[in-house]
Amino acid sequence: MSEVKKIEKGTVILLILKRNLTWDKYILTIENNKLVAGEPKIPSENDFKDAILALLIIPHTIKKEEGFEKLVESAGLDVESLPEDVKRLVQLIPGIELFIPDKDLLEANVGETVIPPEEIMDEVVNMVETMIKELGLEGQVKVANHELYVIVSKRVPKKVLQQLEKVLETRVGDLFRVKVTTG
Amino acid sequence: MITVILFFGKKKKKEEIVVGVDKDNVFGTMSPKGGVGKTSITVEVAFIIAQKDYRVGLVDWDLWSPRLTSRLLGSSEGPGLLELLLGEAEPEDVIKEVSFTTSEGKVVRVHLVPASDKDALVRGEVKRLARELEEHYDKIRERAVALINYLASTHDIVFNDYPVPSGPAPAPFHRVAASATHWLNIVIDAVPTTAEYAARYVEMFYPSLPVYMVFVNMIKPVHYEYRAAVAKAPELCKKFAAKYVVFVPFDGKLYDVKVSGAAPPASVNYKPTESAALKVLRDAAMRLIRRDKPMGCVALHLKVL
Repeated sequence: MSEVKKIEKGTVILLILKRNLTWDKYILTIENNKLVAGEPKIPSENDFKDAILALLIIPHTIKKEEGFEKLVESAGLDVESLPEDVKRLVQLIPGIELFIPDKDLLEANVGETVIPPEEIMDEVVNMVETMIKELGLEGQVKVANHELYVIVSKRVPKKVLQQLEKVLETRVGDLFRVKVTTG
Repeated sequence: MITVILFFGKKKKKEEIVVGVDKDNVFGTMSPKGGVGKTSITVEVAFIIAQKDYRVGLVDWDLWSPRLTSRLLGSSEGPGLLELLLGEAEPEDVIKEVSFTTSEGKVVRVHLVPASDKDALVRGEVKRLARELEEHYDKIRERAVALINYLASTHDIVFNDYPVPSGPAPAPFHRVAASATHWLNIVIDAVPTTAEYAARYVEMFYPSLPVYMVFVNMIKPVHYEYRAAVAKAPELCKKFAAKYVVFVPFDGKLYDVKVSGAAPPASVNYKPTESAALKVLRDAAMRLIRRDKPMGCVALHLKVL
């Protein structure tokens, strides 16, 4: 999250549900990236002590992006965009799991990890067995030297057999040479 | 004496194996449950590709909860997929152009087949389709395949956005949807049971479709969580025999949209360098448009330490 996207000014509403099921409401004012005022006050750690739930609402807030002010209407909460002192308060909200993204992870490039076919094959055989069962067919699946043999009942019509071969070819053809026979 | 012997028995189940469309530029996206970002991922990937001047088609198959239509059009008037499946509209009648302008002033266009006319659900048309599927399944499937073949031949890539299998869509509808794609893409979150549900639903509804990409979405962008998710790549590759597994970190920008009405995708509003999720999705989108077929399975992810 870059510096230019910090919330510059606006109003944030904080609702705290206390154990006696009453809500405490705070209207927090942000100016120049800082929490400057709270109505009736800026809540302290003490105010969260007997809270069972809290909600933070950002109704109309100005974000500054590359020099331009932008009105944020979404309720989506990007913790990183909040001023430090509001962020600290947010961390005190009970029952809500908040996180601050790892900056270096977000800035990392995209990489790839290749999982070789040999590591996948055994499980794919199980998958093909389940798939044949789901299609309402009975049969056996065998693998030998990158060849996948599927032996199905002789009673299966030729058209279905051809469809099965086509389907297996599309689904696992990159891993195996597929051979469907009757037996 | 004449003896008449009558045989009563269960009607033999028609043997049918769903075979997808031949053209390999058609992708269907499914997720086992709502809220994992299926439509958001589909929209972002589609618009990343469209920004490279490819012709992109999108079809909203979720007649029961048309999120793709409302996301891109707000509400839709006139015929959509439903009316086409009922035989009341032709492919040319249901395709709508959607365009958004990037911050650099570039107009990005895609073609969308909305789920239906906005009042179709209220008028009971969706229920009518369910009844029609019982009687005229083959005809409806033929219409669906004709639409997709038309889109596949006039566009570089086509994305079908499917309803969740746990929703109200009847089983024959899922079979029709499965006939109208070549590849299946799956969107899940990092919760292990979601992958299990997805595998089960693939076996039930899409057993014959090849899986191209599995998107693991909404991963908390903190090192230990992201690393743990990426470590599951071999398991997911095996489970779905997928070509790619893509690990998308949670990014509020993808969901920073208005509750109702059309909203531009994050990929139109932000550059991939401004969003970690878009960075990963851009890589995935390029593999989709090229239809790369790696040996084995490839995990695409942010480089973790």
